[in-house]
Amino acid sequence: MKLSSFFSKIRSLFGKQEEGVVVVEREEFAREMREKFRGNTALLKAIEEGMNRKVGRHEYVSLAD
Amino acid sequence: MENINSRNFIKIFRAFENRLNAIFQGNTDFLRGGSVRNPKNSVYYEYEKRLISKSGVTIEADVLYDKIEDDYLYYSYNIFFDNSKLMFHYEPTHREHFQPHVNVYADGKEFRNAGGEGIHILSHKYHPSEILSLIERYFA
Repeated sequence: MKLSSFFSKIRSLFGKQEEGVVVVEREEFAREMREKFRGNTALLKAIEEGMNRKVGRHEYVSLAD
Repeated sequence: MENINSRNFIKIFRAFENRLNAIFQGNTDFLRGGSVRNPKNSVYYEYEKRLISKSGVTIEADVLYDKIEDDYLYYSYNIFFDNSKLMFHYEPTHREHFQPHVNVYADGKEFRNAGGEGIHILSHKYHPSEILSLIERYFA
């Protein structure tokens, strides 16, 4: 296996990066936002609202509690 | 200058990234972040970057963009230099920060009025290219 193909496989395990875009999972993103904006309830509520806008109830995330 | 929106966000922040890297090429001590992040099945784009130059200037860019509302949920560009700081901030959901503004900190202290309120200098919604031009002009 070529070294470059090995690294591309490793990268694909950690997320997709195309044209400067990194795709991160919802849960990971929610956790990061909770940590980053801890104490800023208004902003966390707004992020939460956006994340829950187009998903089923079972997928709802809660950021501001 | 092309107004920022959900369709050109990636393109504009890729250009921001490239230009910022070019400005500090070979003159950077610490770098973190830089790519546009697109949370899976979510409505946001996120761009986050921290850079410390060898001459001691710290640049922090932190942007969260709502693709559906087509507006920022939050942006903050901090430029730290000589114990001072310029902060370009916009946070529409916040009751005090709903208008784009600039905060100034000199000698480690925020500019405040006699009543102790931090002075928010109201500004327009800064475009990433304008922030870059400012960085290029004064801090490169």
